[in-house]
Amino acid sequence: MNRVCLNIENLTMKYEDKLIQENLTFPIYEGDIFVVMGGSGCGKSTLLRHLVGLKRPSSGKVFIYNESLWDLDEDKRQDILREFGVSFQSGALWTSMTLKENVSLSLEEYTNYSKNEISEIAKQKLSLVGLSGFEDYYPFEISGGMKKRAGIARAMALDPKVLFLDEPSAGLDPISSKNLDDLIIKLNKEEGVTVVIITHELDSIFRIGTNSVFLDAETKTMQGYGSPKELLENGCEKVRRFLQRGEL
Amino acid sequence: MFRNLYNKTISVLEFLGLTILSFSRFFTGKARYRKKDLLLVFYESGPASIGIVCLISLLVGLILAYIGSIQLEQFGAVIYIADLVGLAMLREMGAIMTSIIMAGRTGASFAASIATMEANEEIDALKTTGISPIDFLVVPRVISFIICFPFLCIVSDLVGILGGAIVGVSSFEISPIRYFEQTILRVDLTDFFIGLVKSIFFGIIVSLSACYFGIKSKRTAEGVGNATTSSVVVSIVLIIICDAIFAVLTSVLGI
Ligand SMILES: Nc1ncnc2c1ncn2[C@@H]1O[C@H](COP(=O)(O)OP(=O)(O)OP(=O)(O)O)[C@@H](O)[C@H]1O
Ligand SMILES: [Mg+2]
Repeated sequence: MNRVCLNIENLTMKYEDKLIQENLTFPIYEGDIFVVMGGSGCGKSTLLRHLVGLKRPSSGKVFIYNESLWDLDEDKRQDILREFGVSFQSGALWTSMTLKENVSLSLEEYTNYSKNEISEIAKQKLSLVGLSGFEDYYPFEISGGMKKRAGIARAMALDPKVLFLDEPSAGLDPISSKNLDDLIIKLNKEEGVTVVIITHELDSIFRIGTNSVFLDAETKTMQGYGSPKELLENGCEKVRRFLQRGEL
Repeated sequence: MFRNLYNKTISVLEFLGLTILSFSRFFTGKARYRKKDLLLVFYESGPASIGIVCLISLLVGLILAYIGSIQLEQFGAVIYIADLVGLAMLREMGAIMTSIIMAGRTGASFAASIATMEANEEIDALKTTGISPIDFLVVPRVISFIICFPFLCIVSDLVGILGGAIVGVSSFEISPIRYFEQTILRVDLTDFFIGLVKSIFFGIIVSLSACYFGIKSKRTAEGVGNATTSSVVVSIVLIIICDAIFAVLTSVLGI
């Protein structure tokens, strides 16, 4: 069994007084492609915000390699989070910078590469997501799906150990979406990147997911944990229905 | 109500604390920001604003001179328009007009652009990249305001005095040389520096308020609008309060 990379213990998430999800407890192992599933609005993106240090849990803990994320001091937390790459549901590109600058920023901050080397790396990351030739475009000059892909390229800039992707294939055509799955598998297999991915694409869930959790909006807690195939066979009714497009 | 006020106070104090930390990082060369952004922000706060500052200051100078002349003319003392305009511009109006214009122009645009970034999750993206949004967004804006405000204030002082002179020369047949001699006779460097120091404080107020409301804005189109409005209103209120404090202080100190 692989080492535990992220451990979520009794996590309860709230906005002000509004409960989103409670008592989430599950591990994410190193080398997993971990899928977070659940209906729209159940709190998947919110969970992601808790895992990447953007939002403090209302109660419970998030452990990253046995360190409790929210009990560390700021500098230590930043050091750990630097190993993460995050791509947001909305893309969240920096609108005042070109795609290349978006990808380069973290390289400029944290590596000692020369300007040319950084430019090369940025180009290469953009080509991985099929955006060669768009290096000098600004975010407002490209389409929604392209923004999403540029966001993924940015998340990969520093070759993170853990990659968080919030609905990366939403809004992509089937071919780009398949290419993206291939890329995720390649990163996972060849470079050992742990991937935490939020997605609704069933094909993609079964194809790439090695482990998963299902968050339920009604009971406001998790309803299943295991590989997607396992859940399809042995999960509770809700989860099986979700995995069969409601046809049960 | 009280809880709300308490929360607001904490959030303001937290913001100020983080800003001070960022400034200490800036001065030790550890802050993360892009030179290119600093230049752009600098351009917005200085050169790009000179035109409007000149226009308003000229008009303020004209207005002050006309209003003053109504009284002064009755005593045949129109030459004292120069004193009135000179003092008012240097001590008060230069700094105040500059700051109010900047609060409505560049401050509002800072608040709106930062609030839009917040709404687009761009600020979250900065945080997950390990870059403090305060280093990256707030510090360059505050610094460029601290540098640009005194300059704009000086421009405003001079143009305002020019406005007064135009009235004096054209309507009351004071010779230009006589007008400027009278101005120089009456105002001194203390008046000039009081205005200048005030403008620095006002610059800090306007930039911090713009950035604060931008960063704390709600993630909606309405949130962006509210951030802009709040930033301008709060800036102007704080400018006037700060100016009042200066008025009391300078009168107590007798300067
Ligand atoms: N900033 C916020 N303040 C208050 N409530 C919020 C905020 N952000 C999200 N919510 C609420 O939290 C719940 C979960 O939102 P979240 O974005 O995590 O859903 P999600 O599972 O990612 O949905 P989707 O699949 O549509 O992206 C929603 O009901 C939403 O209304
Ligand atoms: Mg979401």
